[in-house]
Amino acid sequence: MKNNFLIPNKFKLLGWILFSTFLLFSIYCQYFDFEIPGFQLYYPADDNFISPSGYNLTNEVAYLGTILGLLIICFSREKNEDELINSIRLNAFQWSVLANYIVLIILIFSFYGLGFVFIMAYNSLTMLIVFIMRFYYGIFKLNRTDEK
Amino acid sequence: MKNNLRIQRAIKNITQAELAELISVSRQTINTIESGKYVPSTVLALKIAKVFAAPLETIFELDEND
Repeated sequence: MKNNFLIPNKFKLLGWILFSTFLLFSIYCQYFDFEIPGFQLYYPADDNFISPSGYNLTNEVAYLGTILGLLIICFSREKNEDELINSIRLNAFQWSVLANYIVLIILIFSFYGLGFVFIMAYNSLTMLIVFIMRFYYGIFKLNRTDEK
Repeated sequence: MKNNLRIQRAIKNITQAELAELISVSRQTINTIESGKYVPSTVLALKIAKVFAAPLETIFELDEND
């Protein structure tokens, strides 16, 4: 059975490199307010509401890189992708959707206002991260029972 | 679903790895099928039957939970 959504295995390494680089870059941008000077497309007509720095694209690119990296990791084939791996993959996706919405429900009731917006930005990565953890745990479990 | 894959392999004298290679899956897949943890797709079951040149029903059998 062919799973047409998947990309070749060699992209997995690229995904990890993208993810780790841009994750560090995002953290750096967030905590040190780093911005690539002049890296912006739109300039506000007046800046009494959003400061001009809100239009800088550095953090957007950092976020995009992180998401792309995670997506590539999630959707690249394993070296020995067969139907058993496929069923582990499906199981992990079901897990991650469920986990994501449980976290979301908790967040709805525990944050409000601008804090909620910030938390939601992080929450958008939950599904992909939980998927990766659950998927590799499944493969780890498979290999462990195999050795017995 | 029950199966007697282990016995069939013993008769034909091939290892899990050899069977896995013949039907292009990983050895772990054969192992989980043999231990009853994973039910193979129809395509894979038919491929296994083809390797042993036996009808499907002689290898795989429904059990009382199915």
